[in-house]
Amino acid sequence: MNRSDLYSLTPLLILSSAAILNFFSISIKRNHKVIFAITVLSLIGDFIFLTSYSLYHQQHIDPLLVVDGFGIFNIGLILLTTLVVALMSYAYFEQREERKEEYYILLILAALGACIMVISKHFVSFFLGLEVLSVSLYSLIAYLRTRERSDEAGIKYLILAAFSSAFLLFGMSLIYATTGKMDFGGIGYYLTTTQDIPLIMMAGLGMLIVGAGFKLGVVPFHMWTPDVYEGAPTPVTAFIATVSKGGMIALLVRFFNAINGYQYESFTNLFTVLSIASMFVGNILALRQTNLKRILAYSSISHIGYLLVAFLSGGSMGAQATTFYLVAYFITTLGAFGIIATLSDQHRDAELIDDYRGLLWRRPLTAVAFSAMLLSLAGIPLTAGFIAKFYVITAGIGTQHWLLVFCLVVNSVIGLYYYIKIIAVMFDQKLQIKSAKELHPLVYVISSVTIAVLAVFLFWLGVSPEGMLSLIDDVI
Amino acid sequence: MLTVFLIFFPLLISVLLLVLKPAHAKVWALAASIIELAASLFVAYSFDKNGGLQYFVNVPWIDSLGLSFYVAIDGISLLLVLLTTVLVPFIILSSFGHQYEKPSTFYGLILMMQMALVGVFTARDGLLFYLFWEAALIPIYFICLIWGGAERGRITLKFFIYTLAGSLFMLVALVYLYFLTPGEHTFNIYALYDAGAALGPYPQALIFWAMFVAFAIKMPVFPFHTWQPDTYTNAPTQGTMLLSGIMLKMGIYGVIRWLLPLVPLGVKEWGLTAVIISVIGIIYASCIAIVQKDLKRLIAYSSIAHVGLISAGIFTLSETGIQGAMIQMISHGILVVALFFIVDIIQRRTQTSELIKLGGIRNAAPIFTTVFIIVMLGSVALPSTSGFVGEFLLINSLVQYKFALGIVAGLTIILGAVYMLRSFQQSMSGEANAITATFTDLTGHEKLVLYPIVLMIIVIGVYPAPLLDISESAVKNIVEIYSNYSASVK
Amino acid sequence: MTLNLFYFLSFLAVLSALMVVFSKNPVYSVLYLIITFFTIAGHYILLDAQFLAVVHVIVYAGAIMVLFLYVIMLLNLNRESEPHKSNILKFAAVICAGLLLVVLVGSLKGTEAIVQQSGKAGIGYVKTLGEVMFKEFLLPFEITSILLLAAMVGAVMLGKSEKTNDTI
Repeated sequence: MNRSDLYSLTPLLILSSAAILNFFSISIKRNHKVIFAITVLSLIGDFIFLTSYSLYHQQHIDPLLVVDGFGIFNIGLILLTTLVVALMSYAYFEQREERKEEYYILLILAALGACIMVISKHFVSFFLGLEVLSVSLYSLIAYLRTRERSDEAGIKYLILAAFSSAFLLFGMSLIYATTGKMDFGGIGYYLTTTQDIPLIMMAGLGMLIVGAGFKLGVVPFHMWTPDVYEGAPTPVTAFIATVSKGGMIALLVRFFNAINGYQYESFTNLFTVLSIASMFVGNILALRQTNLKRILAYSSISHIGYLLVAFLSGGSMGAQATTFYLVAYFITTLGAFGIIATLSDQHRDAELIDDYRGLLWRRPLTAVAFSAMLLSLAGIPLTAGFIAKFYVITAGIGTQHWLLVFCLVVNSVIGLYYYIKIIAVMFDQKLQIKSAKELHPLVYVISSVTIAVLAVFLFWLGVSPEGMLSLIDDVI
Repeated sequence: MLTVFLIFFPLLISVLLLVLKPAHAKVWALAASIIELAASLFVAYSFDKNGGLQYFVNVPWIDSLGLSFYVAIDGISLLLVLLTTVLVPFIILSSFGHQYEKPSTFYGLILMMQMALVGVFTARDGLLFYLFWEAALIPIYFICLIWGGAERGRITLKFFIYTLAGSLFMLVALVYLYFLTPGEHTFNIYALYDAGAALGPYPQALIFWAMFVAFAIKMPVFPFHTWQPDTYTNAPTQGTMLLSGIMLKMGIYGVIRWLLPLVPLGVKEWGLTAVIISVIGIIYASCIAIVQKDLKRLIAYSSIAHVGLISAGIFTLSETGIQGAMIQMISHGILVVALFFIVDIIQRRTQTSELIKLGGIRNAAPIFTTVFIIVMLGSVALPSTSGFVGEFLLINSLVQYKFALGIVAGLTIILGAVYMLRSFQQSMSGEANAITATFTDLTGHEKLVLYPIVLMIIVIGVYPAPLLDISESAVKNIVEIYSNYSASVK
Repeated sequence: MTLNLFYFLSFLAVLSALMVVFSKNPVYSVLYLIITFFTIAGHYILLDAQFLAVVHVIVYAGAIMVLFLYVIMLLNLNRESEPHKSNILKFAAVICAGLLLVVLVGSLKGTEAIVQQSGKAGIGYVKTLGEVMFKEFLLPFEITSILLLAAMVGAVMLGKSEKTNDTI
């Protein structure tokens, strides 16, 4: 490890030092504000440091990590997302009486795990990053212990994540048994020397996909998603929906490009089945839900299905579409959960659709912002969601995946139903008197500003995505 | 540049309204729409009838997606832009009798709608067209959702999903063509025309159906019409006017501009089918209109019948048919706005639009009755009203296309006369009852809306030549593209 | 000799693993599991990985299993309190596991052993392992410490009794 290696790893070092700093700060005195400030400042500082890298920066820290444009981009995305989650957490946790401070340590560590994941080019770092992320998430999900469903969600995630890790490890070991390599490049090289994939390696890759599928929540490995989304504190849900899944997608993109997995029909077929199943199951199950967090959970399942369409298209077009879709999906999901978090009160999250009845007349700006987020999720023009979906369709048509494109279009229509239903409820006239104890309005300023910024980004990306597209183009 | 002004001026005012929330939002909106009208009249005045594309602006927007902001005006666009800019002031004026909650939002959304409509009619870039097409949906959806009737949640949902579902397939078709454009892919309409025409019959047929369904839902043509009557009935009157007066023309315009020249073989193969389902729609909607008990629903169904005729005329692919469609679009837009305003007036004064509860208004409100008669006669296409010119040309083209179809479509005039006269008779004549006895006649802003409309109905009916002239060369151009291609295939 | 030992250990491992599943009393299960771990440790020794074998015994058979036994004793689990599982669930589990078995057997059957002779004889010694871990794989080693940190913070946070518990 030399100086330039260290330089490349500084973002990770900053994150870990922030966690340690929080640690010490708690041991001196528990103060929510201080911890929050340390977390936010270190995330911002880290991001600013990250921008000092050139996008063509390429630093191989053999054998495990590679800090390249794609990795830097994804780390930036993770840092910003974590920042937004932290910002929306303040008001959310301030009104709760549980200990709030450890939350930020775990959040930072989870982000660190995701960062390691997106720059790994080796099974060891992949697995370690994933575990750091998962272990932090176990406790984050069960963080609000006094709530009814948090234990259930925590245990469910713990068991299923452990189960999927086992699959992942088994798959890795089978691949290692065949190739004798654990770095992506080495596996890719091995594959170029063989005519077709040996059966044992196929089994290994299949298990790898099962493990990754659990983390992504694609059908048929989606069972945990709605329960965990519902049981976890809302900011944590936002984190799972974005960073945890996005990190895995970025890793998959890197892995499949390294081993050139697109040329094997068995894998593309497998992903096609996963994608179509996720789209249909996610959307259809969402139709009958009345709990907003569950709706968003099912919708996230279908969104991963859409994303796989882009992923399957392969090549630079596919990678671009995937990345852009991730960005748009991050913004939108964060916005939606951010709004749920701001509307939540001390005892429960604002998660039933009925909580939103007539929101337009009570909090017009929030209602408008939420509508924008939902329309973006539905892929309506002039929002980031549209450009993302358009890009996915373009990638799909460009590579002649007609079946996938057809399913995507049909599912976009099914998806509209529940997004629009929520909007219709918000614009309903019926006024509901709500007598929740509200905190000092200043507390909400941070959350509101965050949501406003997200909404601006949403439209900005929808109207002029050129900047983001060329940025993504550069890093790929 | 004027085109850009026409598109973005309403948007600017709309944003101002939404942000500033001024006290007299309706006045602001009216003023803005009149300025817009003046600008469009200036365009019409300086428009060169044989000059092809004019006032065009073409700047790249999103390079990596091949999207450029390419707008231009030709004869067909001009007529529809004029229709939009003429109707919007009337629509805004017609709302002066209502006190809507959140007025600045309401008028802001109307102006936003106008922006999108003008954009649709002028866009010359496939993706830009699609963007405006969808952008037109958002404001009208919210107008119907916020200010609509009792069941608006369910009904707007159906409306939104229906229309968006159709257009998504159009998007897929456009993207497919985009990939067939040579070199650096582009959504430029002429590149798309070439790409589409170069395809074989089977892909063309697929594209035809993908696009046709999108347009047919918007119009709406039978059997894609089921969202329409509920939505028209439930929307606030201004929303209904926007939907029926202007928005359904988007579908017809789409067929003329984005279907006929795009996939000539597909049109050739499936044109007859389209004509037949349009004609079935005419008869079907007319028959349902006859048994309607509610005036607003009756007009909604009559609108389906009229649109069916327009659509049938277009798919005859003759110059007469398309010219007839153009003039009939203008006429129908004006008439239907007037009709819905009349229903609105009745509804506001009597709290009902059910025919059975009305009657005897004639005695209480003579001016109102006269206006109603003229509008109604225009709607049943009496000679020397605007409705006659269009329907005559359309039926004429149909008779030349397939005699039997022309005759069946011609029934629309008879059936139209039946239901319109019946509704007039039930609502206006007869004995006055408790509700209608105190019916007050037209008041200030109502006159301001209805008198000019009546005037336009008669002027267009007597002297339609200037309007026909405007679109003539553009229509010829489209028919030529189509017939050249058909000839080259033989 | 080594081969015979291998077969013996494998037989024992499979047998005791089956007994883990089939014994009704959870305490017996745990005890069988310890035997399984020991046999696997034996395998490690056969593979020249002495350090791994020792760690395996200490960590798994020692620490974790004792913890298991404590938990079982504290919860007082026995045959009566064992939750009843529906037949469909058992059926599904058997099918899934069976499929997995078929896949694994099928894929392993056709493969030739890829024998990669590692050059060094003492690859399993603590010294070699330590050198690799603190030189080549220093970074993941550090990341592991972060992993433990996260686990520790979470465990302490969740395990500590809450002041507001009485309000529930």
